[in-house]
Amino acid sequence: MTAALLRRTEAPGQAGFDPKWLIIGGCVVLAVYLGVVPLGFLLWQSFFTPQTAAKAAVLTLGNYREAYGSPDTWILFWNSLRFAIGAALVAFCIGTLLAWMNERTNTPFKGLFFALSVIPLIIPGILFTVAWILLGSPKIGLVNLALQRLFDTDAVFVNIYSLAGMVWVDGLHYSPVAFLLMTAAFRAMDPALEESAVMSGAGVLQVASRITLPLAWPAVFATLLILFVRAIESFEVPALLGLPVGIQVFTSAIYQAVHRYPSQIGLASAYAVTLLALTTIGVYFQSRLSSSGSKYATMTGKGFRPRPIDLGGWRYVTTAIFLAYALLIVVLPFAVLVWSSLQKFYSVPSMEALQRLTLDPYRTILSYPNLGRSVWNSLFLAVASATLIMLVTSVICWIVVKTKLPGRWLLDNIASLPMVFPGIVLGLAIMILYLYLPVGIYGTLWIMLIAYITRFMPYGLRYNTTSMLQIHKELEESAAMSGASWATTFRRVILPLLKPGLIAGWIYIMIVSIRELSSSILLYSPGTEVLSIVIWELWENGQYVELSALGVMLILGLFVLVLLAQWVGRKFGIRDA
Amino acid sequence: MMGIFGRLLLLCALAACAGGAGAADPRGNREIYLYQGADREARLVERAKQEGPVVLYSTMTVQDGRVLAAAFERKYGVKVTHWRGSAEKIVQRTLAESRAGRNEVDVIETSAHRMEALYREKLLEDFHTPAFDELSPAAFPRSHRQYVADRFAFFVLGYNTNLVKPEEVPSSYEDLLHPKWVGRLAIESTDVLWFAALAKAMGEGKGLAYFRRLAAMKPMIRSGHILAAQLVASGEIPMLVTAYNNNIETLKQSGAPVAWKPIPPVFGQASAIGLARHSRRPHAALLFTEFVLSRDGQEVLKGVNRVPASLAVDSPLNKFPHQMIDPAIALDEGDKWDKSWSNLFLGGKPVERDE
Repeated sequence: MTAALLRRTEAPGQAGFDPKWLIIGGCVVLAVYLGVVPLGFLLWQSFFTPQTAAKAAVLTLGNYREAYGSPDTWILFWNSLRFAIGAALVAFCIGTLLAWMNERTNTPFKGLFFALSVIPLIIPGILFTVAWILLGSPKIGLVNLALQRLFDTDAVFVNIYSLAGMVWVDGLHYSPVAFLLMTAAFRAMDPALEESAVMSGAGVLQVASRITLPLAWPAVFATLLILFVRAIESFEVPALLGLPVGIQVFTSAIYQAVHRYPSQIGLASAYAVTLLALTTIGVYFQSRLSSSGSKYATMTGKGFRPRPIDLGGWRYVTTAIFLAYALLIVVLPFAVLVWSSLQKFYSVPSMEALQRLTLDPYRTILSYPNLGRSVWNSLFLAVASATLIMLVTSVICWIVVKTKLPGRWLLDNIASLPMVFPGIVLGLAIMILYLYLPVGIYGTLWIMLIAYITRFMPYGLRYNTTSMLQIHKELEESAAMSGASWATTFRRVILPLLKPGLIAGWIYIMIVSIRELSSSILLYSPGTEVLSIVIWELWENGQYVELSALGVMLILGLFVLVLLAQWVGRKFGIRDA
Repeated sequence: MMGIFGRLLLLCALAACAGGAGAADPRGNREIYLYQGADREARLVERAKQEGPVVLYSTMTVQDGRVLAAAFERKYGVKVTHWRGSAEKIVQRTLAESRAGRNEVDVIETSAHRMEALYREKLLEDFHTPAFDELSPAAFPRSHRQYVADRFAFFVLGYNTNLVKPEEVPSSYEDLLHPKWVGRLAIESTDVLWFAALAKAMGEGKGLAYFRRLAAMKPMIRSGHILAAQLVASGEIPMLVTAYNNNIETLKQSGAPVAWKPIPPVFGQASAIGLARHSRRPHAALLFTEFVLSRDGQEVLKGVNRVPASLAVDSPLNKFPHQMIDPAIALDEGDKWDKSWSNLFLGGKPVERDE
């Protein structure tokens, strides 16, 4: 059908060349280039021994033998699997519930809750984990201390150093990913079906489970995929919470390989191949969903206004859930941060500590070397990569979802794989390429922009895919019938309809770009410092109180940015009801 | 038909020229680094000023680096550009740049065993400075002068003074095995080199037997020295067996209820400094390195709570018998010690280092 559409848009007058091929071709070339370079590097490296001054690199299969020949690997893999599935489910349930309440119901104050819901994502991983250690440690955790005092006992109520603790902290931290993705999906959903169900006497829960979620199935799948893959390559939480009790995961093996001398990049790559395979399988199933046609497209030519369901008395329940969430997940860790940012060194709240309150950490941060430049670089990189990624991937996504081009599934896959490249391997691949390629971007901000775009392109793709699947082809077809060119259709019809996904993805990428550390740390140069490096620096140096102060400011700053993005989103494109 | 390809080629040629012009003659650098004539200092200062900013790759924090650079600039009028990275990233960056023929870095300062790796990769060069005379004998590698320790981190007992009474504090490693310490000890999860050095010092068989008994006490395992030190201050850990003395000292000075005690034999990990073999600013590189090792530079390091390698500087942090952990242990016997450490303390799980 779309092939026909393509043919039709080539009016006889413009025969031969249509600028649309420039845009489509450009985006494809860019995505393939960005995806293939690190992939090639990784696969190539996985067949070589490390190169040193004493020994040249030789071709080998030893990396694969070492990686998969030992039973230890499979134990790590099993741990990783349990952790990733658990964390993905926790994040999915929390994120989806919040998104549903926010988009499909008339819960009061929900405008405010949108920005609150993404706060866990804004808090840097290290800080989020440490805040939970301070809350949930068996010995000094505030939750335990409070409950022990309440019941006058020595019993340990919660222990954050456990698999359940890891799943909880990581799941919470990434619940905004699910929240943003599902928000986009719910927002673009025609409520007609839900309304018919209500008319036929279905209850709120029945509507949600029988109509809303099944309709959002592609989004559900994309969300679970992205959450699972991200959790499996997660590092901070397993390192800080799992290690003390001996729970180690797959990323540990990769990490250890890179940290040997000579650095075993090849072995790390061989491990990473499993992650690549897992992602490939996921993307393949997603593409099966995408090609199931317009089954999930609710955005058709018929006028629709996304309208929330009236919850009636249930409204108070959802408000209570929101409040509980805000209190437990946002306010509590934030309060811990604020408390420790006012101390000279961290200590449990007490009268004695109350007398030591100081603003010194804020002063130290504000006079931190290169802070202004770092903030500026981070902001530039975040906005530039988020904008470029969302635009480029919207075109890629259109090709994957709306055309019948052979091999489009591979295009999706290649652009999705950077999601699981170990950050350091990606950083190295980009670094080495541009050291040899004389284009003069080594040591500049541009090389970091390339790294960020490569790293976060897969997320842009998933966010756009969810929304793209909901747009019915008939809209494009009517635009074409009315004589609009491809570019006009894309700009005036597709992009505005994609808006929920575009905005959600933009916010997500902006936030994670500001936090990006593992490739920045290798690629930055004097003059191109970014905020995440400052955070890492403070962490390395044990300046936790200063780190908390920076965290508090970062959270407030990004909170404002998210509100701003929402406001801009409301001003442009189609209006919500 | 010159077109894009022609222009691309031209660009490559230009880049090659630029690269070629920038590359210094390594033999020349060796002579500069080892020169000991009477006019040495005057020549060094004058040419360093002509060469301009020194590029330093170092694990030193940005704040400490800035203080050091400012002191150097005040004295000689030469600027320092500091790139801060973890030890392992510094090795990776230096290696990748040098393989691509780009000699960006002049001076490197990071953990001794990573410097040993750079030495084996032939990226460093021998050098000489009069400042060597005041350094602790433990600061020098055995067979060459391609890197020299400029600061230390010593493994000592760090404890919470509210939870451990002064008369309780052990004075030998044997004391730690007393049953009263069960459940009160903690060890940092990556201190394999300390374990290896201490076990070797006790005599390998005896040493391993000692550590088996220590492991039977089921110490808490925590990752990150600084985090562990903070957990001592906050009361989660009563006694940290492998504390870095400067971490505990910094907390103590800010009023935390902590103290530290060295128990013999005390081992330290060194951070060492060295000159890039292919530095494009060899005089400035040597002048800066000399400054860091000199009394002035060492005073600066002491001022930011680091343990100076110079014995001429008055610091309580290095005034006890000490020895350095041999950097070759990490490189040559690393796997073996990692394995026994992991079996003893990590339940067989691999060691994760984040340097």
